[in-house]
Amino acid sequence: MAAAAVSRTAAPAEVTDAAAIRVSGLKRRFGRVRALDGVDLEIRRGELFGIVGPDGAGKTTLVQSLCAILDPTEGTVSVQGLDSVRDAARITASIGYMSQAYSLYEDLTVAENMHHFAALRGVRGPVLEERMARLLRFSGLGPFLDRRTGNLSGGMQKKLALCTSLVHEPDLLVLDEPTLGVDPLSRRELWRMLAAFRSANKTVVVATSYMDEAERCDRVAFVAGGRILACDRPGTFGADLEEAFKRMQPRPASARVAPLPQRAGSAEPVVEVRGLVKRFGAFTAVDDVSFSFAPGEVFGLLGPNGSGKSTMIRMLCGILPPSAGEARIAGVDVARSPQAVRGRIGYMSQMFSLYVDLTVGENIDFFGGAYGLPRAVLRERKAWVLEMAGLDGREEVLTGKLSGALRQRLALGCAVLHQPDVLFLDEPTSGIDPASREAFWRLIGAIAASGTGVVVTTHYLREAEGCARVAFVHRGRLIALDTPARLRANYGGGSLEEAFVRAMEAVA
Amino acid sequence: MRRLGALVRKEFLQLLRDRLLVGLIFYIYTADVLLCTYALSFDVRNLTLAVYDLDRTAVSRTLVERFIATEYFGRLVPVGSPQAVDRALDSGAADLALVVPPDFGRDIGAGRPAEVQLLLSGVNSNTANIARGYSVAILDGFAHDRLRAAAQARGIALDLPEIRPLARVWYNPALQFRFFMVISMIVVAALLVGVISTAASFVREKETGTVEQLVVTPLRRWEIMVAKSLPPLALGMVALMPGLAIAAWFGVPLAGSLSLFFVASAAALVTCLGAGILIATFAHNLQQALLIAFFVLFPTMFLSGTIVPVESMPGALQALSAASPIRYYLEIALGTLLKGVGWSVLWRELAVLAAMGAGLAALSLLRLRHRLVT
Amino acid sequence: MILAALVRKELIEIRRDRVTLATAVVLPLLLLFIFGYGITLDVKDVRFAVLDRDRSQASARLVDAFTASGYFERVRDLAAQADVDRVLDHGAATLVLVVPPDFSDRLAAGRTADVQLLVDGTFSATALIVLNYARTIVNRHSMALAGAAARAQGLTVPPHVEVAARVWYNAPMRSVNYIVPGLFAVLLMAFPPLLTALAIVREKERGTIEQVFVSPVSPAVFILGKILPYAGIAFVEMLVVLAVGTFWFDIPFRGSLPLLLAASLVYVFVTVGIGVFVSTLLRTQVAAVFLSLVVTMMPSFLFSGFLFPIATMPYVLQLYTYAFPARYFNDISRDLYLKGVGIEYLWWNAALLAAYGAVIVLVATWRFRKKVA
Repeated sequence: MAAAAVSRTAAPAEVTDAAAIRVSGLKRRFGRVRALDGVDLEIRRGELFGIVGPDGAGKTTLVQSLCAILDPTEGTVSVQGLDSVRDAARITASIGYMSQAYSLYEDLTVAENMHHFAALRGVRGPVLEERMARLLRFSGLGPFLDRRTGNLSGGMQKKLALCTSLVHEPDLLVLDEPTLGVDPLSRRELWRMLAAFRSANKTVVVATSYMDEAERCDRVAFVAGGRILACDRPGTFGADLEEAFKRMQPRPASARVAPLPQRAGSAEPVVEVRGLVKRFGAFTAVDDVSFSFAPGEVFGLLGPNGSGKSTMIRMLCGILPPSAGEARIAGVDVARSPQAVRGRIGYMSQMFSLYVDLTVGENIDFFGGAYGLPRAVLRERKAWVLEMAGLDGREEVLTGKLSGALRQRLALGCAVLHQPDVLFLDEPTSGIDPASREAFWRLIGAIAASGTGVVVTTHYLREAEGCARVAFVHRGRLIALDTPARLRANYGGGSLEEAFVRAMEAVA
Repeated sequence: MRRLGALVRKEFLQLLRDRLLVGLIFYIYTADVLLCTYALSFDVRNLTLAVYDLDRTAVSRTLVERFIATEYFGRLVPVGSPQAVDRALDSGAADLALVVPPDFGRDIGAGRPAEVQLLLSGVNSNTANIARGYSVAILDGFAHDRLRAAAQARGIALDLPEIRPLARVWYNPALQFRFFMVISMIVVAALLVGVISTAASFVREKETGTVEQLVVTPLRRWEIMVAKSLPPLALGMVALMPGLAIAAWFGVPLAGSLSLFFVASAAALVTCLGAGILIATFAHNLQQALLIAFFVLFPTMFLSGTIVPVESMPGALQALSAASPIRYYLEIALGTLLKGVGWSVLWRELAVLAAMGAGLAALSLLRLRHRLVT
Repeated sequence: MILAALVRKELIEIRRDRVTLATAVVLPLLLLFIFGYGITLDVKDVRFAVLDRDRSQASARLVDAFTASGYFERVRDLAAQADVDRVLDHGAATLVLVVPPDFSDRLAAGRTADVQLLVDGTFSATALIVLNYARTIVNRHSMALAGAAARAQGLTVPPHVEVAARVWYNAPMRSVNYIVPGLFAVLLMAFPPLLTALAIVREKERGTIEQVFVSPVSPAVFILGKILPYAGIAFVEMLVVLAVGTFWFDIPFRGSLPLLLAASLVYVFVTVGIGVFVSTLLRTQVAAVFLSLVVTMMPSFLFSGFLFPIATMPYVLQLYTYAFPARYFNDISRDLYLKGVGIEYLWWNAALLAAYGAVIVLVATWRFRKKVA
């Protein structure tokens, strides 16, 4: 109430309220869907506040409400003493916001994007010069000023987006999953930038699906089903935040893994790569890569954004022809007989790979048909996929209406319908909450146990511990290849993530 | 066969669920055809004639009445000064003006040559041309009657020779522009539907990333192409029916070989589908594909005789239009639906159309081999 | 300051996006040339065939009258009635002249002889012109014969009426003089609104618009930041068409150039304003392309009076044409170009145009909210 009174009378500078943000009784509906169902929240000035929760919990809706770009259906949001409906223009004029969607103009260069957003905020002259110099130094974007933003790697784009949100040094910064799809190295740099910004006693609100990020926050709110289930300092949740939240969350439907038919065992390597090279013009994306692995092995490819992991996988799948070297799947040369290879592999690309305008059942039928499965076999496999993905009885639902986690599991099911010799998964768990990620990895384990070789890339290094062997990729080269345990030992004995960062820093 | 069947089924489901595209296809074949046929024509009727009669005799009035008696001139505006004639034409209040000189009646009566002035607004050269034709015919008729009357008055035998032109207009006796318009719109619809729907379906897979998933399956490129072409082809053929019904309703005889028309429609659609696929291989997203499609659609549409006849164009453009499949489709459609002819007359056009369709399909398949993903 | 930044950003994006640039610059020029050369109803060199069953001097003279007129080109001499069907069915000739067997006998006897003019009516507009030409030729020929006969029978000066026909504004009756001044209205309505709508909807699709929401940029400034660059491009487009029309196609410009430029400035704001308005209704670029096709491109081409005269449309559809501002500008530019009239004839259309523009931009600004939903 006090906040409302202030907003009617005074400029924000005179506000003495200790809270940067007050949310009371906030509800938001989209048609029939209740995205937020009664949220009360107070974020103090100078606080680093985390918002975590499963897929579809309402995190983005909450964040957009805080930024005054989404009106509440019920309840109020007050930001620095200003009401988010009446004084929306004054709120939006002062805060900084980094949306989850890509928020830069990709046809503009790095410098042009910076200047554009600075001009929108009225930052210019020597102040701009000084701030830009500092931001560029921190982000390491200095050498890329004239590069088109669309040509930057995912990690660099996020760093630039953060820079553009910081250029007017807002008192309040709101970030929606800023590190989604970003490699561990860039993630560290993003947080270093945030830390530097915070030292000036600013308020930061960040939604994230990384628990190590949540642990850095002063306080964390756990959101599920449009409500805040818990809100406190991270330490109060116990030693392992990830485990704590997994317990709090309703378990994802049917995490059970149906038994898979065992494949005929063979000790022969299922994937053999020798001297593989891919050049795009003058740029070498994959540089003399060799490895091989056996059926039933889960093989992890870890590397920064733009290091060539996806290019490798796309060559192994026969989507891209290699510039040199060879790749064999189950003894068949991919470049020479791509058609023969296609029936033996399964692939889940980085982008969502199902048809959103088809129903669950139609997607399964289509991929089964595309792989030429006989009808009887398809019927049996379809039942298995539905059970495995927890979609029993939801065959008629349009795929676009499923949550991200369910879609990923359905996509996985469609990729293994034909029981491939090798399964390629390119960042399959990106943007999915920890509990669903864990369930997903159990599925990967079961698929591997049935004798299928699995290649997987991920930026969640914690889950890469589940791989039999892991390769670190840097600028198109394999710089290390071993079991996770030995990699940890070789690079200083910490977690796999620490090992990875050290390995990368060692070659940089 | 099993693979192809699954793919075709999927494409049908996706097309039928895309309300925007299905709506657009039927809009183009029905509402658009109806609206344009109703509204648009080059007919010249109801012209407004300004009359500046300086003679004001019975003779001059007879002449003016002859103008009004025709269906071409709807309104007559008497004006009283040369300035008023200017104003009437400048403001567009009149399309043409007739100026009858002071001694007109006397000259005619005396058997002397007389002259009237006809001022036409040439802004629309087509209208002006036709209006001039009408006026000259009316004045000729008037003169002819006067000649007879004069001969009669002087007791000369009436055995003057005369040639009477008996005009018969084939295929379209009432000279209704609608007949042409409705057929032309059906032809243009095939062009729009064919190019847009396949381009959309290919580029959407690129945009959503499902194309990579498609590529790693054992499906072959030609299977993908066939499967993606079948649903728009089927929908386009179905959408022809309301189009034909509208044509029949406007009175187009549809007397020729309908079998030829349907075969030609399928061939034309296939050609345009091929063009759509080709466009899709050059575009990264749908918006780009549609803009590129405009570069193909507009010139093809205007150069194929769908708006004005190819014969009226300069030689170079006529030669260029020979490369447009739509030109042949239009000739077949006009032949079968309006003229009432069939295979024996139009087989050459069909052969050219089919050859173009095969060529475009082959070309797009070739590009798809390398360019499906990127 | 903010406005300048928005405009600058927009111009950089336009410059880097080749497809947009081509649509803005190349496509209008391409259409200008296609329309300028290709869209013409001028009738000349009409292919005509003769079935002369008389084969006399008299019939030969009539046929000569056709070829001498300069409009007709004799392509075929037919031998039998069946041939008539064939040449028309194949489209080998547009006009067939059939002279009956007793043609010369009847004329010599001072009687009436009928000749048949068979016209392919498929494209009625040109068929009508062909028919008029042919009738006039036959009538003139007939009059000449009658006059000669009358003189022979003692009528000293046969009365006749001369027609002094003068075509104003477009004396040579060139289609291109009619087409090109009308193209301003069409081209400016076809592409600038589409590109403007795409520019805004693209920001929605890519999510960059959320950054605009969370910034001090007001809706009016944001919209102005979109209108200015695209209006600028459209205006340049207009100048190019004007230059090409005047110098390349050699179309006389009779009116006041400042008046035309002023009117086109207003028109350009209207077209771009429509683009902005359309974008407030939509979320995807594809929908923007389709909607523009249906509400700006096709109507401006078909219902502006550019090619098809409005006066011959059914009354309800004549009212419908008022919904599309291309019609107002079409009148203005043709009147200025060909008639050279002044503001006293044009103010009404200009006022309607200005009002249209003001309303559409206001409504668009009012509809534009800085909210994601």
